[in-house]
Amino acid sequence: MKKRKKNLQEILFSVAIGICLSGTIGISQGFAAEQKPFYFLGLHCLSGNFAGPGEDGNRGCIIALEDRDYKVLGRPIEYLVRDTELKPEATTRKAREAIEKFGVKFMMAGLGSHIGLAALDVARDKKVLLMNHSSGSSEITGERCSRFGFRWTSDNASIAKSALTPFLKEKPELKTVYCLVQDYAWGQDMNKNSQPILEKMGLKILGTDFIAVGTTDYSSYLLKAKAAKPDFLYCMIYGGDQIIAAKQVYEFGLRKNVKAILFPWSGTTMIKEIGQEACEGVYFGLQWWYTYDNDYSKKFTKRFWEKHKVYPDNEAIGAHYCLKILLDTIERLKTDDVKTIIMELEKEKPVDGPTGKEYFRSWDHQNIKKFFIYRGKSLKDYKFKEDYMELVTGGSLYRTREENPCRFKDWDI
Amino acid sequence: MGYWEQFPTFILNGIASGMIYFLIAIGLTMIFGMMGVINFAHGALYAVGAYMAYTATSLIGNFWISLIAAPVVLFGIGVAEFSLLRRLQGVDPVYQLLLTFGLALIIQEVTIFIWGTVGKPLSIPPIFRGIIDFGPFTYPKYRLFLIGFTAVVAWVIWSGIMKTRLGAMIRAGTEDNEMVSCVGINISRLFTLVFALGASMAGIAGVMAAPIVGVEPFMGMNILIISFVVVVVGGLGSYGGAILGGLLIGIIQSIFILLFPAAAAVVVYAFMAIILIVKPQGLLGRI
Repeated sequence: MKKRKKNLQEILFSVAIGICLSGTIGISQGFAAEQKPFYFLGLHCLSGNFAGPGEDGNRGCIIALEDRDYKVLGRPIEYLVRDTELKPEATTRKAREAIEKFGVKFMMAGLGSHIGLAALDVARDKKVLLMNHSSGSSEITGERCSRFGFRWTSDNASIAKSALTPFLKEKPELKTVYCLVQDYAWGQDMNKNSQPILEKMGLKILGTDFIAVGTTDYSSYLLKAKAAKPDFLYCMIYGGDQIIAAKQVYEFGLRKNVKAILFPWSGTTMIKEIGQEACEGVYFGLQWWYTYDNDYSKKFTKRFWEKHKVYPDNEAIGAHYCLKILLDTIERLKTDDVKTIIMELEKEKPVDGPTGKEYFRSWDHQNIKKFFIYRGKSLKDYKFKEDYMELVTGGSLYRTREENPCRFKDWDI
Repeated sequence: MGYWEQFPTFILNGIASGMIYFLIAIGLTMIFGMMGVINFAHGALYAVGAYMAYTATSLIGNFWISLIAAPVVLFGIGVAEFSLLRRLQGVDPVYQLLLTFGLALIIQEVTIFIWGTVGKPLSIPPIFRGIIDFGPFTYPKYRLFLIGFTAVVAWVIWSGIMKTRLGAMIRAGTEDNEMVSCVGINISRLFTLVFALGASMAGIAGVMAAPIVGVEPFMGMNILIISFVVVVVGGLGSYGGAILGGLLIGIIQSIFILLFPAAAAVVVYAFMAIILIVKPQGLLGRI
């Protein structure tokens, strides 16, 4: 009897231990579920010609994450960084891998229209929210728009409207123009959007040259443009090619031959590489510039400078803003449901952004912000070492619903 | 201004571009002519030269020092590179290609490690800033200097090869290096010297091109393709071929930009294809 009782005691003891263990496991599982990382994917160009601004985009994301101590909804944020290599196929492959392996629901991409479009296709297919902080192609919030994609930067069509138009209005002396176009998606798109405005503003187009990407010698194109004697040289050239072209524009003394030279889209990294002398007197279209006078810009620039000892590119502040808005919305709504977050962002609530009050438009997901034209300063006007630019004009004119072919087909609004 | 009035300017501009191409291609063709090695790291060495120009200008404020320092440093890198290549002598040339390609990537990454991914600004030296007015046309002073400087370099190389004992050894080595070895010349040392000189030329090209094209880590890869075109058109291993190839490519490109800009990007490759079909050894090649 005693033996039987002892066995029973042993069984009860074993069961108790089993319950305790399973309870412990259950608690730890519950704890693990609570602490399950919130995966966020950053697709940045970290190699090749655009590695500089690409790294700035990454740095912008990191500052936004540090602002929140890498936490959202009480969960730790696991920031997955992938190099786009500036190749759409690499972008697609890496984005898909991260989404399938980690269950990523939110991602960031930019730098390169083709990269933005590739990432948008993945977002649409995988039903993941994409924040694009720097691609310019009008198709992203136009023909190929998706309800899963939002874009911070002003697109080419808007740049043409909100920058080229006020710029030409301020310069009625410009009667003729010569266009240099970088022969790829962005350049062609920019040219397509700019030519009607140039004509509408009464400028006679004396010539348009399409120049291959990766060209290292612009001398013959510049000689040809110089011989045409235009009032205005309009250089739709971006990236490393812009740096070379701007340096050679200076070398060939075109600034003395034409009344105005404009690169419609540039960036901090490019302007620094072009250098003060070649920038002086030349006009550059900029999404944002680090001396822009508003609270968001000042605070971010100060933070970036303290951390990296360099001034931020528009890539950095664009990425910071996009991620901040996203995380703030997730935290406020207490959900990471993609559709719920999208519908909240579509409410067009203006918030403080890098260029003033900004908001994402509900029907094409284009961020409504200012776009600027800056001019390279003379060295004697510098207030500090890297004070390259002075603000000339800007605006925020975007395509109307009638002008924009974007019609969401992902799911009904 | 009509096309014919612009023609002389475009020819001059083609010559200036051609001289830069020659400066980059000469080192490549020297190395191939002597050793049969296609040095994929040549572009990376060119980038190192450009970075040295930036460093000399930003630290010391003197661009011209880099014109002496870059060839010296690149000579050393060339010796080091060849010491690795020597181990692969007699094996399949594919291994040499892989080694030089690997070295190109290593040099590029070291460049990024030292100077960062973002390119650096470098201005034209003050003495050559501005343009010269020739009446019907104007032209940048620096490009005119570049034409003159490259012409001197070409003359020095040509004289060195044709009129010196060392040049005779190099020419003999290009023809038949086994025979040169048999007559008591240390062929290994000669190879090392030629390889290092080729690397030095890449450095000089990088220094001279930097104020025009800027300085960034990937500039070597961009220029390597056009250098190969020049070498193939001129003739693999031919010094005269490098000059002729460089000038032809530069002038053809310039004229096409004036007359048929849409075809300017592909015309040099089409020209190379025609040369390969009509004269596979290149215009002045002997292989």
